Amino acid sequence: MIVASREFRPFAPHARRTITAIVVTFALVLGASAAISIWSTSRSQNRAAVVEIAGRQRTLAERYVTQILLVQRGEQANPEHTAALLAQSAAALLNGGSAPTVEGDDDGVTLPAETDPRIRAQIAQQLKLIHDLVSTGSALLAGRPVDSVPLTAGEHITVRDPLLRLRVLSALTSNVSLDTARSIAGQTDQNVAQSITLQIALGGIGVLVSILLAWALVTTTRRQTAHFRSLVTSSTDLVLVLTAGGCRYASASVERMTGRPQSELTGKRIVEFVHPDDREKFERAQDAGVKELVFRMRNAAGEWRHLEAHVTDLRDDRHVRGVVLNSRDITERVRLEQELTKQAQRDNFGSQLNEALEMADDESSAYDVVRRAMVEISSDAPMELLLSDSSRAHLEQTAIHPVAGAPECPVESPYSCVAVRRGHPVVFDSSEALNACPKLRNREQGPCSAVCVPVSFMGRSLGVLHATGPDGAAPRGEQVAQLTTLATQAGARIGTVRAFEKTQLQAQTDGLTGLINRRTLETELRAMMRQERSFALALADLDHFKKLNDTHGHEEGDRCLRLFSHVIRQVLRDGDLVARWGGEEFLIALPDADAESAVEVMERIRAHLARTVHDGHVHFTASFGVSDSTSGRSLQELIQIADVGLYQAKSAGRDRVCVGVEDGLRHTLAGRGNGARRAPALHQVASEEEPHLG
Amino acid sequence: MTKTSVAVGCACLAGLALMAGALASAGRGGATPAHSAVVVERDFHLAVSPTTVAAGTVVFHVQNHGPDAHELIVVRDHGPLPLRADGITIDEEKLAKQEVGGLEPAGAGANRTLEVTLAPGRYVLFCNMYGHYMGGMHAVVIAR
Repeated sequence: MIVASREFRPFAPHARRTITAIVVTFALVLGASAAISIWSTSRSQNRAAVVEIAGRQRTLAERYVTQILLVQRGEQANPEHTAALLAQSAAALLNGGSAPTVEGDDDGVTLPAETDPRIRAQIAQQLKLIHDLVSTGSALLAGRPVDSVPLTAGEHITVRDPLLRLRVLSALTSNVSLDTARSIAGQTDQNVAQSITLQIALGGIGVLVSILLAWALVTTTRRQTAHFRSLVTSSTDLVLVLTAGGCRYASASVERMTGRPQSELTGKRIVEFVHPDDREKFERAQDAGVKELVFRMRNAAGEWRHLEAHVTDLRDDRHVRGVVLNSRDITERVRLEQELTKQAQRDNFGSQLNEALEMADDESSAYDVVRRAMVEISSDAPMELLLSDSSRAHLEQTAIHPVAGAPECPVESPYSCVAVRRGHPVVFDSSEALNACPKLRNREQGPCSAVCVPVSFMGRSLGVLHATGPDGAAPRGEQVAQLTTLATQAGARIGTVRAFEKTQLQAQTDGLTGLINRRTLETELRAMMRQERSFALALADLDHFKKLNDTHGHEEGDRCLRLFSHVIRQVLRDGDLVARWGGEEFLIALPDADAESAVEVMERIRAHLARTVHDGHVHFTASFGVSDSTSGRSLQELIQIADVGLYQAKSAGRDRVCVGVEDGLRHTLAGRGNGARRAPALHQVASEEEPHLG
Repeated sequence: MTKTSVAVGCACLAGLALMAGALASAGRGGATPAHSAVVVERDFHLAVSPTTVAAGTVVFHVQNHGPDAHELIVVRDHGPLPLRADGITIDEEKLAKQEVGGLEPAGAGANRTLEVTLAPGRYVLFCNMYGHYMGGMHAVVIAR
């Protein structure tokens, strides 16, 4: 069976509806009662006259006999008139109309027609008896035999004496008249009784309905009160009524809140549970104009709960006589707000960190940002960023806290670190705890707490960010979150920078020899020319390289190229530059050098090559053409001059060094003609403006 | 059919009916008398059926056919009933020793019972409301 649940509406105006129903019920009952009274009165208003006329018939019947006797004795009497009164009155009783007056007795009265069949039969019988009485009386007066007068009312009179016979008829008429009057009176009584019964019943129903409605009202009010009571008692809201004498009332929730009985907390004592900083404003809550109040209250567990109270001044309300504080526990809301504030600060830290790291275009700049971020997170907690090197096998300390220093974690390889292995931050409350990281133990600085946050990029581990604190007081929540943000963002940036540098290096170097490529060298040379820095150039070319390739294969040719580039690098200074210029040609730049010194360097290279290939390698030599920045105005021109020197060296028998001259350039260009050598065409390409690299 | 023959036919039927009635009465007379009787009252006649009842406890079922109210008094018949000074109503006080039972007046439509103990003898039943006895409301019952 489905039972419809009753809707709980604590503020619904049940009482007003019920009272209205009670009033309406009373009005209906009163109205019906009045209507019954009016109806009953209207029915009974002529009954007294009817009863009187009916009763008068008895007297008239007896008077008629007396008058007959008087007439017989020769005295003055008018029995006919009495007979007429009898007959007219009976007719008026039966069919309604005017009943005649009897001399000196009463006034004429108009009667209603009788409706009750039983009474109508009695009146009809009375009419018959009057007829028989008058007929007998007339016969008596006329001297006719009365026993021959036909009787119409069912009489069986056996007496033959005329006067007795007349008296019997008079007695019957009188008796029937009396009986009729009784019946009419009885019916009237019955009507009144019915009316009274009806009114009593109506009154009873009205009272019953009113009692039921009142009961419903009481039940509803009780239920409503119970609802409110349960709402107030089960509510976590705290209702306090404050007066000048302290707290006059505290709702049941105060027991849950403070862990003490309600009765103990009224009066002054409630203030003891209010936070000392909030006591003054709590006690002044009665001041006019205070609408809202936020205060803290200690609960049974000793925790401070934040309460927000709506203050209502009901001192003028005689039912309350105090200031009502309707307080709601907003501790969770306050916590959430604090959390949101921290989140905002964290977001702000993250945002600023992100911007700073974006501006770091190399690793060292990124490390600098990391150091500054460490200070932001904590001014006194030792921190360090350990990152793996290119082999990804060793961890190196790349950044430490500028003020507090480094925790000096002895971890050496990424996968020796538990945080790196787990892939998420690990917090150790104490280095001496059983489950502490073994690398934290036995430190010179003594026991400590620690946070280890893995640093990764694109899913690949880069290292770990360490922070330590006092033993048993590891960084919590906010600091761990900030360390995580730092680790994540630093990892992303450093990973990106490393990837970018690697890509850039790959773009700038020759894949076979590992030397910088032609474009990179050209960019460097242009930079030196813009700085008006002097330098020397040497264009080197392996002799008979085509033949070497043909004889020993390309692999051997490649090996010779790698060997030659190695030899060059061994001879050159750190600041010198060498690039594979194309095929078996190499261009060497010697900053702050002239052609003369360049020749010496090239000779050293040539000699070192000779020694190197002597040790079991395929024998090959190289020729060199030299120029310097004083030889020409443009880079193209300088390279061409060096190329002239190379041409001269080749022409002179190879395996030598020649300095190119500007005049020679013109001669050479004229002598070789277009396409005689590749170098000029290549140099032309190099003259194109190099795009600026970031 | 002539009027004479109709009259003869009716007379024959009446005769047959009388004979049947006589036979029935003879049958009833021969049987044990009843312990109850029906008394019908109306203005102004009183009829009892049967008129002979068994001596002992007798129940009269009294029906008033009206239109007026009637009472019923049962008295042992010891000759003419005494009248009051009005010469019209029976003097019930003088019949106190003879009276075996009575019913107060009741309106038209009333159905009542009157249980009396009758010794063998003759009893008069009458209504003594004003003029009713002289108006014809009396009857005789024999108890055997």
